[in-house]
Amino acid sequence: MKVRFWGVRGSIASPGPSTVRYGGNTTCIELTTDAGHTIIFDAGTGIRPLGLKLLAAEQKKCAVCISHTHWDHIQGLPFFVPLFSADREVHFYGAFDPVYQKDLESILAQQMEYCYFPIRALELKAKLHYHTLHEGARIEFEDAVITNVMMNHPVLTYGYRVDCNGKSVFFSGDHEPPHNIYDSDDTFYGEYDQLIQDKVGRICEVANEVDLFIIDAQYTEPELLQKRGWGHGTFSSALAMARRAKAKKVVFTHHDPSRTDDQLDRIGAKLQAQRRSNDPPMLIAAEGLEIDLG
Amino acid sequence: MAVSSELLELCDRMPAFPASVQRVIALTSDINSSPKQLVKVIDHDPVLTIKILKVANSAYFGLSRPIVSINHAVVYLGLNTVKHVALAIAAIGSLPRNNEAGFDMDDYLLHSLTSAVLARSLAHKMSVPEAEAANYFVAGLLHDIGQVVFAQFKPKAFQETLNEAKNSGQPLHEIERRILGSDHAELGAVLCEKWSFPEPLVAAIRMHHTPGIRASGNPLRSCLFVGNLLAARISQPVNAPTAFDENILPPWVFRTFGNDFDSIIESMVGLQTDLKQATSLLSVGGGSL
Ligand SMILES: [Zn+2]
Ligand SMILES: [Zn+2]
Repeated sequence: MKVRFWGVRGSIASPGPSTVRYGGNTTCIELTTDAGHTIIFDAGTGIRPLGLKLLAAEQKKCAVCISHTHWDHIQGLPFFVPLFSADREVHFYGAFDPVYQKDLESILAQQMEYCYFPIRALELKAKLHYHTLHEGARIEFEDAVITNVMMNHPVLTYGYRVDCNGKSVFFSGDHEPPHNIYDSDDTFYGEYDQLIQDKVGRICEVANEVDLFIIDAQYTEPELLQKRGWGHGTFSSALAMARRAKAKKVVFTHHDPSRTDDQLDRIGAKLQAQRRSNDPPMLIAAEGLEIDLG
Repeated sequence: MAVSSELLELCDRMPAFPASVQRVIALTSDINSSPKQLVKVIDHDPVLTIKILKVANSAYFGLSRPIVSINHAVVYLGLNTVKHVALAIAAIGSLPRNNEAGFDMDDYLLHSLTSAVLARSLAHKMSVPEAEAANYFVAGLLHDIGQVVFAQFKPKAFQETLNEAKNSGQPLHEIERRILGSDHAELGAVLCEKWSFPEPLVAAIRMHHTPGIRASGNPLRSCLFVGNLLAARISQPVNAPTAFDENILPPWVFRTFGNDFDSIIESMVGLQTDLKQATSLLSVGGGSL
C-alpha cells in the first residue's frame, strides 16, 4: 500500500510564501492498494490535483472516505474532475449527521447548490454511490478493508482504518483529546474520566498497531489552552495516542493555517530531539509526501 | 395492553420543560458558560434526557454498549453534538405551563427528580459501581415519562383519569389502563424500547408499579420500584397518589434495603444534600416552572 498527501492544511487553504514547502491545500490523502485501487481520505482542496491525476489513470473506480463535512474536508469536491466523467465510478463513505438529520449525499449536494456553485449535483455524470456508515462498520473495497471509529470534534467525525495485504493505515480526521468537563473535586469527575478513557481506548483499539498513523496535530500545547473545544489535537496529544495505539509510524497533519514552514521545521526538529528510544518514527505531513508501506 | 403507534410517533416532537428550554437557550448563547452547567440542565429534565439518549442509542452509531447517562452521551457524541441536539429540542418550543389535563408539571418534576436521587442512593446501598449508578438516576428521572406524554397528547382523557384517581383513591395506573387503554409505565417502557434503550431500564420502567413476589434479578428494577415509593413518602405527589401500604409489600423489599421505609430513608448518607442539589433547578425563576 502507498500513501500520498495532497492536502495537509486545516481549517482553510493557506497558500503563500510561508507555506510553500509544506503546502497550503486542505486535507486530502490518497491511498493506493497493492492491486492499484484508490481510496481517498477527505476531499479538501488537495483533491483537485489528485482528480487530474486520476482522470489520466486507467482505474475507473475510487472510494472517498469523508471524516466529516466541515469545509476544509469537502471543499475540493466540486473540482474533483472524475465526478464529471461518465466512465467513472465514485463511492462515498461517511456519517449521517444526527443534529442536522441529513445524510452525506444531501450535505454534499448542498455545497453544489445554485448560489455556491454553477453545476448541480444532479448534473454530475459519474456513477456516484453514497454509503452511510454507522460506527464500527466494515467495508470491503476491492483488495482493502475499511473500518471506522467515532472521534471527538464539534461535528460527528469518523476516523478510518484501511487494511490491505497485512499493511494498515489509520487516519484520525479531526480530533481533540476529550477533556473532563468537571473539576477534580466534583462528584462526577471520576465517572467522566473513566468514560474518556473508554472512548480513547476504543479509538486506539481500532488503530491498534497500524503501520501508519495519520493524525490531527493542528495546535501546540499553549495554543490548545486558548482553543479548547475547537476540535483539534496537539503534537504531543497526537504522539500520546500513537504510542497508546502502538503505531509503527506517525504523520502529523492538519496544520494550522497560520503555521509557517519554518515553524513546522522547528517543531519537527524538537520532536526528533525529544523522541524516546521506543517511539515510532515521526514525520510532519507535507504536500507531495509519499510513504510506501510495501 | 397496546400503546398506539400514533402516540409514539407524536413523542418524537414532544417539547421539553419551559425552564429547561430557557436555560438551554441561555447557556448555549453564552460563550463563557461551562459545559457542566448545560449537562446539569439536560440530565435534570426528563424530556431532554430521553431524547438525547434516543439520538445516542440510534442505529447510526454502532455502540459497543448502550448509552444510559448524559455524561456518557457527551463523551461519546461530543459536547457540541449534544449541545446542538438540545438546541434542536428547545426549538420545538416548550411544554405549556398550564396543560389542558390539569397535570401538575412542578409536581411531576419534583417526583421524578426525587425518585432519581433515591434510586441512585439505593444503588449505592446495593454496592452498584459508581459508573452504573448514573443509570439508576436516569431510571428514576424517566419512570413516569408516560404521564407527560398522556398530559400532552391525550389531555382530555388524562384529565378524567387524574380526577378519578383523586376521587376514588385507586392507583393512577389502573385507571389509566381503563380510560386510556394502557398505563404510563407501559407507555414509558414502549417508548424506551422503541428508542433502543437497554433492556434492564425498559423492564424497570415497565414494572415500576409491580413489586414482584421475589426480588428480581434486575437490581435496577428493585431500586426504581422502592425509590418511587420512597419518593412519594418524602413528598406526596398530587399526580400519582401512592398505592402501596408498606405493610403489604413483599419481604424482599425490606430484606434488601432495611427494616421499614423510615429507617431506609434515614440510612441514606447525604440524602438531603443530594435532594437539595437535584431539585435546585426547580426553584430558580420563582417557582414559575
Ligand atoms: Zn478540519
Ligand atoms: Zn409511575
